[in-house]
Amino acid sequence: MQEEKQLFRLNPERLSHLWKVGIVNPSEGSAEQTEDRDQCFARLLSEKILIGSDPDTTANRSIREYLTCSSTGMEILVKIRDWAKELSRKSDNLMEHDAANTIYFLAIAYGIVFHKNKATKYSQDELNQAFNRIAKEKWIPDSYQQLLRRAVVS
Amino acid sequence: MKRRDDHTSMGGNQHAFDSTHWSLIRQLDCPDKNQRDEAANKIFVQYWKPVYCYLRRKGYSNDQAKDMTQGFFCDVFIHRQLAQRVRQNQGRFRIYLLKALDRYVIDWHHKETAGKRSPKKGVLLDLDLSEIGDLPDEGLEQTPERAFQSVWASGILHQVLGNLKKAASEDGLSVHWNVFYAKVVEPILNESESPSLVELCSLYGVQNETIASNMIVTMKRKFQAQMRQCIRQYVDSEPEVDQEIGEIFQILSKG
Repeated sequence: MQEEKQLFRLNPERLSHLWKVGIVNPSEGSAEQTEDRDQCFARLLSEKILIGSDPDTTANRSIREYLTCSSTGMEILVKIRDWAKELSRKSDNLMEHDAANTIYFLAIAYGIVFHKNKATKYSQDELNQAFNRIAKEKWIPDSYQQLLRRAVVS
Repeated sequence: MKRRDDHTSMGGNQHAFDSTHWSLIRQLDCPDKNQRDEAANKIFVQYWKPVYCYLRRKGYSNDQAKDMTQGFFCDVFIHRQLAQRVRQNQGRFRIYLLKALDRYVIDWHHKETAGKRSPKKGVLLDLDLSEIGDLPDEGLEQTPERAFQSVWASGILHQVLGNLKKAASEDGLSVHWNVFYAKVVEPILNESESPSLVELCSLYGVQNETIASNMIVTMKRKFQAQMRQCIRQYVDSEPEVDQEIGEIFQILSKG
């Protein structure tokens, strides 16, 4: 009853937002097109990064796993950085571009915090600016925000 | 003109597409009075709110709109057998009803001006306004036709959400439903900010954001399927389902 009243009281603009959820657009049929910003970020974090030449190796873990454990080596971080850079350059989806860009800076932040290695040509000032800006985004989970802040003070 | 038993290259045998809504309208012709009343009542429940809101947006007071809504269903719909006169291939029943309503308003106004209108005796239909509360001021600038379509669409969405919640519960997907509702539906209903996936994971005990995200995508697909199922009741063929969903979206999106 309460929900019915709420629906009835919705103005057409908001009603159209809800109605739009029900529209299947053949060109937007994939999950990627129906997600929000934090969903897009979560999807990219679940991508697996290929280590070595064997795609079946059990060593291949998701980006999330690599960025949340404290023993990820520089070689893997560079792979993540390059993968994210390439994706942010190629993607014509603004959300995906932002999410990939964030992963790019997270990989660099991880290198600074855990390896004292700044794997980029950006200056520390430029990085600090980027880290501070990204750390304010609400759609980025706290643990990643903390990593970015730690990279600023390092 | 297309006939109901036409074969089409895309849609196959159209005869196979017998919508629930048209079955209901045909039931108004059935010899059994109980079945006729049941069908009339179901149709009334589906359409009285759009009719009432159309009349309010036409500028009639609450009492006048209620009176006229009753009059429309009793005089035109039941006594003049409006539903039985419409054929399935004449287009959307909703649009037909809207045209008939427009004519009824003109007729009502003429009778009112000439002092000929008398309250109809007979079946009085129950308009429970408590179901919808006061008519919102928002959208007062809407045309009566758009108000009619918006209210009809809100009824469909209510049905879709109800079916989705029930199906999710039966399929053991209550957490999926909760996550989807909190992330997608509630922010639209309450005009509030959408919670982050991290918040939702913590609130509903979901392992990580990817799983929560996949839950939302799954429920969006189920929402789309439910929407199609609901709309299927009101149209004549499968290709018209997408057309109808698209048309309603266009009507709602008009600024």
